[in-house]
Amino acid sequence: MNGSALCGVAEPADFQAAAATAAAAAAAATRANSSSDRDEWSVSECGFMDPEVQRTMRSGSTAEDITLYPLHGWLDVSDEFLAACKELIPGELAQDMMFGLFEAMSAIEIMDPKMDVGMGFDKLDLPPPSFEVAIATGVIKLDNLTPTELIGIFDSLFSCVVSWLEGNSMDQVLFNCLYLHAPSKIKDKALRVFCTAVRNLIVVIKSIIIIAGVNEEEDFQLYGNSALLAAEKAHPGNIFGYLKEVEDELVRKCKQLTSPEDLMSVVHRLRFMRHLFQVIYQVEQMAANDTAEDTISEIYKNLNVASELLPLLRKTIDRGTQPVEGSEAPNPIGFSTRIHDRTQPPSFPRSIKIRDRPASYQFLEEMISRFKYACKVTRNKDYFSALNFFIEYSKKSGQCILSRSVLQSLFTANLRLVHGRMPMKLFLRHSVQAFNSPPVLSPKNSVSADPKVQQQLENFFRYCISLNTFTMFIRICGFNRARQRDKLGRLIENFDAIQVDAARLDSFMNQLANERALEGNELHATALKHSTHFSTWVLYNCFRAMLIYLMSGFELELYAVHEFLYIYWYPYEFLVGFLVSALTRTENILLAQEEYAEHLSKIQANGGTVSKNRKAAKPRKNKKLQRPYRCEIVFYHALLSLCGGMYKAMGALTKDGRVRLPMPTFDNEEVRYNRRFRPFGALTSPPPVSYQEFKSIRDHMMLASVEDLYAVAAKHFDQARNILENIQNPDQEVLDLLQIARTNFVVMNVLARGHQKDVKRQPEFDFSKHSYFPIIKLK
Amino acid sequence: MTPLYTIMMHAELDGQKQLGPEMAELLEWLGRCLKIVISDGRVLMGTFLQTDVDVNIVLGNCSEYPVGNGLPKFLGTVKVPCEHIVCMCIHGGP
Repeated sequence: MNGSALCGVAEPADFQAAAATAAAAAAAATRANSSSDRDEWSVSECGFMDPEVQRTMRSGSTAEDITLYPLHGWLDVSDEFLAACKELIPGELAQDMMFGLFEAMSAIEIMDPKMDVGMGFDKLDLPPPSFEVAIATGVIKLDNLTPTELIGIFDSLFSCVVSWLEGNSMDQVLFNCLYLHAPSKIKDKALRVFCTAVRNLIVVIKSIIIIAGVNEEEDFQLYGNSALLAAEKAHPGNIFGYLKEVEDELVRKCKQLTSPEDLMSVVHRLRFMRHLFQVIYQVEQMAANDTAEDTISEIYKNLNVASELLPLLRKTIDRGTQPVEGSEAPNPIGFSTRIHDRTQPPSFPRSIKIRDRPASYQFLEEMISRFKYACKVTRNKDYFSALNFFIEYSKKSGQCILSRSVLQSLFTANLRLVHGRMPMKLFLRHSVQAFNSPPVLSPKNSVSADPKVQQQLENFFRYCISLNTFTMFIRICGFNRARQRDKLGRLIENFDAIQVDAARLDSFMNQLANERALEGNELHATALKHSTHFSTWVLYNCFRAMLIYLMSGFELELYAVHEFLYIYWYPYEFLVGFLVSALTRTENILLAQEEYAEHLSKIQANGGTVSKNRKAAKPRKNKKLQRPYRCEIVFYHALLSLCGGMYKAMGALTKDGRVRLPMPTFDNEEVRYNRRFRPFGALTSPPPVSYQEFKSIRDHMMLASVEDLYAVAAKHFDQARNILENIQNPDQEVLDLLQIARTNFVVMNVLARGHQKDVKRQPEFDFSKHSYFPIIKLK
Repeated sequence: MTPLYTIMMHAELDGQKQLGPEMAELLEWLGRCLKIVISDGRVLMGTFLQTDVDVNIVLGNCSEYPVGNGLPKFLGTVKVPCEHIVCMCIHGGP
């Protein structure tokens, strides 16, 4: 406790004098003079509770009825207050009965630089200048800006935009630039057009993010000074025209100069802005366009130009004015920091750090390459590959809200449309066909014209749409990594209803096949038979959601080390195996169908005579080589071995006493287990695995000796290594997994040989290489 | 009549704690309007909700009056750490 601050003011009889001691001299004098200050704060003004409420709250004690008090009677109680507080012992709180810890949580700490917006204002400070004031006092220039000044302003505006995209409030990082307040009043043409472009860019970006709807409060601040948000006269569609015009003018000017380098840097910035703006504007317009492919190739061209310009911009950062050391403003001219501080909601984060310029260009460069990558999404014409793309994209560029939103915009112009053309229902239908090609979906097959079949298919796909599960899965991949898990948990529960419907559809098809077979319609019967097509498709997607859900816990560091055992056990024992079998089954169906189709065409070619000579076997062999899901299956096999290795390794480490277990009095493993697998409990397929089942499986595994367990784990890692080494053209993930498998193999072997037998220390689990699998490190 | 205040006791204390006269008075102030001048001259005014032995004060429905002239700003619940308190005034007196 700081007694001196309080003792020093024990003297002043009235509150005004106290205020004066604390404040600087000049303003204090003016205040002390005005005796009317006493009337400045009446109860009604200060947001005090409604007097009526007060009275009822305190009924029964008339002496305390606050409305009876003179409105302006303040009593200095500093000394009494301090004395009273000394009576409390540490940890004790004197508190109002209407107050609890919950309210305490939301309290703003006064004089904390991160929370308290009001602090740091010197009382002699002028209020932050507004646009008009700044012009009147000559703080900002509207005309005759030198290229150096322009470069400085442009660079700082780029870093402001980047800071905004990183989740800061636009009032604090964008509209602190006075030039953005009234671009039309700027006389310098380059600056005016640039500022108009930024203003429009803000509106367009905001609209993209809102439409994509994959933002969360921590990603992006949607709200800002709405008066400034309304774009000025210029229509976003005209902006690049203006930019081009200014650019050309400046280029002409450059030609007359002897050293045009500075002005050229201005031109480069304008050009970069033009291309960036065009990209973002076109992405927004995608929703309305139906020629998605053309737009995307145009976007791609613009992205290329923009990324070529970036190195030029980065090289010339030092040509512009630089921010003043120690100042909060990103540029010496044009910025009025804290201009909006007092209009912000009270609980707003105060402390904003605007990215520095090199880092901002770095961000833009990465963002542009992410956009380029996102453009490739249009190649994915079916759900299977689109989902793979989204999952991959989220892993690589999950941090940037705009990149994620752009991907969503490119993919689904609105929720029910993909690539701006195909209704979602058709897309799903096409996806099932691409996935495992049920003959009923093939338009060539005569059975697909059967109204009964059509009706059933229609119902199924309509159901998929109305439950929104598949579209949701893709959207969830657009959210930030931390939010995905929670959403996936809820999504998984949704899958159950669709699985039931898919199973019903499959059995209907089989039933119909039997009927047709009885009727003697062989062709229709085969077309309808061997169908677990739809359930397989639904199940496969469900398994994927489950696997991501489970493994994301490692990425988010939710699991304790002693929980690793059952987390790795579940995919090892079930999930990955299910995925492999779903894909293998699909692949076999596809191959069988191709064979059958060939067989049919041969029958037709041979005019009805079935020729079963050896030549027929040849093309089949070639087909086997191009199995459609080979890559995935191999990868899942590797995952299976890795999960198995980790499971056995955790078992061995636990048995060896190298894993710190929670104290039994505070722990209930069953509760933990159920909690970890809770979303899976809602599914009928795969059936939930109870804790008892898990326990008996684990106990069985644990029967073996520690050395054997280590050896088995090593064997699993060795298997994983083998599989991964045989993957052709491995990407970075495969290489990382390979390293993990190799290292863990060695570690397990070392432990199996009895290394460090006496030191029972918990090894370190290093997830830096891969977010799902650690490298086990002995300390 | 329901008590208007509570003393949260985290330390082990048996039975009733004898309250000194100052403490009794302080408890009377709970729920009333308190005005605090802080070290940079700003004035905070709100409902006195909580305090502890170190004189960290929590004010509810608090408004902040800037130094010099300026409009008050509503802050909601705030916690004022002791070292920044210069002066405290309770509204109304006995």
